[in-house]
Amino acid sequence: MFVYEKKLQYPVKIKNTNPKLASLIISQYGGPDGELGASLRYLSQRYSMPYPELKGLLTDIGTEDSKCTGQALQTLRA
Amino acid sequence: MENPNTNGCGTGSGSMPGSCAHLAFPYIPMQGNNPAKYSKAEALQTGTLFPGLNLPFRAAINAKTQIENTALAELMALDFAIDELGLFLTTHPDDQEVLNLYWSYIKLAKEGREKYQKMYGPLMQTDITEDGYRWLQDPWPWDEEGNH
Repeated sequence: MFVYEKKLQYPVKIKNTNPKLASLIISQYGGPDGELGASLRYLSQRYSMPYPELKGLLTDIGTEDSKCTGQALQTLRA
Repeated sequence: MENPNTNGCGTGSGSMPGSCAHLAFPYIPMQGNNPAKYSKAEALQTGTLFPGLNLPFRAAINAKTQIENTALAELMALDFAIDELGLFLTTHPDDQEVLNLYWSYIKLAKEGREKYQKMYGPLMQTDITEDGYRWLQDPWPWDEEGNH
């Protein structure tokens, strides 16, 4: 279902820390409209999708969103 | 007599929170086959492989992040191009030219990974390394040195 690679999709460089921005990013990660929920929703919606292209599309979008969770967390950590 | 469905808005208008917006026909154009592409490094910096999809917000300053020229950045750029072409192929599965490019990049990335791993250690736990089990060795991607 998923394979972990020990590298990021895009480099993350933080020059200044900013707790206010961090709280915004944490809601982008796990909040009601965050990447985590979105990713899992797309991946669940696949199972009732009848069209092959759209099965592929939901798989793509769900996968991309799970990469976004990685980027959001990385940004948060710094 | 006022039509009860218009919520007091005029003909040709719909309701939106706070105002009567004009009705509109949304139109979503389909990306054509074998579209123009940026270079791999430029795509990673821009956030899309396709100039046709690069529509920055109106007031946005198109400030590109400078990405260091490292082996990892090169692999990231190649993988990003592969991601983008893969997404394109989901909706354009019959585009033979893009498929050829996709597969040629995948071959390049396979070679690139092997070179990268010889220098910096395994990218996946299942990679076999000649000098023993190195998966747990620092740096991890969230370490300062592991990110470039």
